[in-house]
Amino acid sequence: MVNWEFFDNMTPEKIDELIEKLMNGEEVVASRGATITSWKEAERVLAGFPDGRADEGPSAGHASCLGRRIAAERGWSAPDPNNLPAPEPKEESK
Amino acid sequence: MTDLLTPVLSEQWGQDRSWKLGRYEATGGYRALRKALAMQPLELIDLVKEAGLRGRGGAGFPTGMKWSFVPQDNPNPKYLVVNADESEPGTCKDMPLLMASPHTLVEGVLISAYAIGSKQAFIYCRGEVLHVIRRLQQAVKEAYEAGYAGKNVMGTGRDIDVIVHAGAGAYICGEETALLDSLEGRRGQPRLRPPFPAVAGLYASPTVINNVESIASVPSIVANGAAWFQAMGTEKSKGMTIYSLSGHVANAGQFEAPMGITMRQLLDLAGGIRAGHELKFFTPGGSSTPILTPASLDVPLDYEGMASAGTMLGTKALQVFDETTSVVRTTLRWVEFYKHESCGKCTPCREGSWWLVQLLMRFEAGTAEEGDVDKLLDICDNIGGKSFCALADGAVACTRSAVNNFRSEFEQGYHTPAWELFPYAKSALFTTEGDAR
Repeated sequence: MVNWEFFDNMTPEKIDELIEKLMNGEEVVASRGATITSWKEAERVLAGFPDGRADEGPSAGHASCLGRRIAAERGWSAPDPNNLPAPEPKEESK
Repeated sequence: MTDLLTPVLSEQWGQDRSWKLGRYEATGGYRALRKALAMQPLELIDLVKEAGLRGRGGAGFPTGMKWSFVPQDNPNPKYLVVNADESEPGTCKDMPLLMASPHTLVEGVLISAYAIGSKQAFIYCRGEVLHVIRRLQQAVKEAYEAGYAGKNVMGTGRDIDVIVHAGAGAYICGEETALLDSLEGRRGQPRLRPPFPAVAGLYASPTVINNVESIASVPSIVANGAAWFQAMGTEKSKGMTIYSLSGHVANAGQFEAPMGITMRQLLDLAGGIRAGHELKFFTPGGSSTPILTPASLDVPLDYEGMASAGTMLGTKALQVFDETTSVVRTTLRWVEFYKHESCGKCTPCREGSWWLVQLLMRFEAGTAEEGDVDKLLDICDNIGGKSFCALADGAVACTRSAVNNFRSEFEQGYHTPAWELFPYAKSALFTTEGDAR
């Protein structure tokens, strides 16, 4: 994380590159968040003063959506409330 | 028979701008709030009780029952507090939900606040997730602008305020009473119970404190009914829930499934253990739950199943470790976490976690002395169950279960460093230059 923004799938080499960029003052965007701001600006957001960046970045990380993706591929879903499956016969108590 | 995976809370994750109010409403959002506001609060509490929703923050206490403990004749204001301080190692369900779909929680908060007679709801979110805080703040603002929150909610004459508060980085503030202290502006330290928060919680007033996932499950229960929720899960653990898989699996991620799915089924969905390796041990519900071995792959991951296996379901944070992993090293890292996060109030936790770290470091370095394994267990006995909260019990749970399952590996710490027995680079999920996997 940098200033409490997510950077996914990092390795030691990628971290070195990231630090170089930050030290050079280049713009850096979090992999699952917004453009990195100063720490002072980040703290203001945490204190309750929005910075207008909420719409930056993706909905979710690739890994977060794994189960949802697999369910979509296999046609799995939650039960239809209007067509609930019949309750299974009770198992013998173990 | 329900499907193996049942996306409800995670249904919109990954969809374009899923966090915006317009998207949420387009997929049925806030219809449940409208329906709930037309019901009596007691009816809503009964509905949640009947559905069988159990707290998703780790303890699994029946949510409807907790709501019914609020004494409605108490003259103090009633408060709803949402615990969004997700910090249990391995847990990653509440943060993705808040980032992708914060309105699911906000709608749940408004319905739940109405049900318990609360006019002020607080969402205590850990501060170390800046972008989550942004999305949450925006969702609450959108809800106010749309008339779902604030004064005269949806024209019913009811007022419900929702306040987002960012924590300052403390695992202990995920403990419900320490959270309340922190919310009140004090250092987060647990309180003695009784009195329980339902009677005297925030500002010594009746307070319901629930996990994000618990409250986020409420809109779908209101929209689809108790029978729908009961159609998923097992006899005593109803509904769908989010399982987090991480570590040495081929594909880590979140899986929303009916309660009771097994580790074998989840591993299969995640592509199994990473290629060329095999499972050594895993945690069912974060580092605070006793570890399990391949012998437990077919035990249902619900509250009763995990209790029968001598562990706990906890936060359903399945951390997976293969044969390249040193149990000694893992236990040391976990206990270092607990020692760091100990608030210091209780001597057994504050001093004991520190001693456990000292001893475990000796085991890791191969310099432990004959008898140190029993000393480790003895210190655990002096810590477990002897503090105001369960943080220390977490340190004890992972240490005891690690020793019980892998005693001989600990005994090797009498003469050989853990990093010689299990070269650490082999456990890494990335390769560094010059390393073979």
